Amino acid sequence: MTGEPMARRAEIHQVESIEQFIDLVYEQGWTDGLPVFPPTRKVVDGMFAYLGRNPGEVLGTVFPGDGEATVENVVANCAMAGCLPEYVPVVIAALQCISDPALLITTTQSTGSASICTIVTGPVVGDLKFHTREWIFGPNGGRANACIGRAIRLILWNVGRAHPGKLIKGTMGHPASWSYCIGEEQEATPWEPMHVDFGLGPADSAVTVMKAGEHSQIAVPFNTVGLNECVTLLARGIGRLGITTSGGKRGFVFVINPTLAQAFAQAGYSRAKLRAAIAERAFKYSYDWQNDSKQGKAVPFADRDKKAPSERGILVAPITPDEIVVVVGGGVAPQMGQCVAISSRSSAGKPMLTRKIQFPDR
Amino acid sequence: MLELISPIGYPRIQAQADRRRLDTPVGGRIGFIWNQYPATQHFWPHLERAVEDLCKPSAVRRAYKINTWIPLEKTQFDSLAAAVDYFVIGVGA
Repeated sequence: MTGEPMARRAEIHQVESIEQFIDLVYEQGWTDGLPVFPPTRKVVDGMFAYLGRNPGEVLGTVFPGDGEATVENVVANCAMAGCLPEYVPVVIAALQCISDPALLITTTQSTGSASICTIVTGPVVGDLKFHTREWIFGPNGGRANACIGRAIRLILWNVGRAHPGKLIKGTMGHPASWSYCIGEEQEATPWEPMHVDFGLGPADSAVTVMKAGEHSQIAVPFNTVGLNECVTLLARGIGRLGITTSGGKRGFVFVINPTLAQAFAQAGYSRAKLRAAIAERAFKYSYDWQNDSKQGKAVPFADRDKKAPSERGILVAPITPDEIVVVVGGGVAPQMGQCVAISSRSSAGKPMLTRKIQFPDR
Repeated sequence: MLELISPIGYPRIQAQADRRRLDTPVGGRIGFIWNQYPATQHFWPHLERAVEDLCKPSAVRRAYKINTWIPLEKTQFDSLAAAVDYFVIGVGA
């Protein structure tokens, strides 16, 4: 017989009560610390029935423990996270990004404590009732946001064995890692879904998985400073985040609220034009950032710091539009723009990966 | 009674088996690339000596970077890569 080896099937446990289940979860190390739902036979079978896939089907290998992700153990983690069956295809698409060697999530296990951020785009956001407005990054009461993010974290924990101090060595951790998932605003956005930038169609639904490092809020008061200055504020956000990806590909996600997106759109900005404008402005402000080999000669930090900023020269490679992603989401605030900027941690592999979500045929 | 499905994924045997095992570096040509990260300044010379004592390399090349964050110049790296069989590389903190 050739081909893939048979996947090892999940162990079955029995408990007599919820109280026993809680004890079991912590004894077995099935959770990262937060309480979880019981992955009962009934719940799990409901998800199998929705998916119509073989529980033993192998979906990928999850770093760092090289754990084999199967439909069965992925569904069990989804059940523990509180997912509805309809959420599981989103989780599977994210898992396929995570296990793709092109993304190479090794940097999320390193001392820098990067996290996995998942951005869901397209009609699925409305279908699954993602909370896309105020407190988009949570907590916001949105079941899809919280449970899909939790499922991805639990898969990293239980399948990838990403246990701190053992297989992952992040020095500080990342508070968003408990659940780091958003859906892009559908109704109040002036543009097509973000994934159209990555070659998918506007009617598609997709996930984008990012190896996320810094996460920073930027106030963008366009009513007082004007849109031109707003581009500068966004670009300077890259400087605040820092560029920690030297040697690898960089990536910056700007989640801007619908009010700001509409203001840019009314001023004639497409999403591509805004990405290009931020990149161009970032180049202008880049002299104060970390070194990068693409600019040629290395300047030791000690020597660099002796010089005034204006004498240091541009030490980083220019930011390019393809390193910038603009996502729409967050609260609608009259005349007030707000942004969350996230930088990638990607010393190897791509900073982010997008994949179309495949739903069961009905 | 609640029947529970374990969420644990087991290591994929094939993936581990596919990992390439290195041949012995003993007697080979060895290169050292070091970022001179301050925390490793006492450790690194000991490591180099230990590797050289252990492997008795037929040739040794060294490249010490002046900045932790910057990769070695590509031309310099290519030159080194052509001259050695193995690298010992010091990265990160």
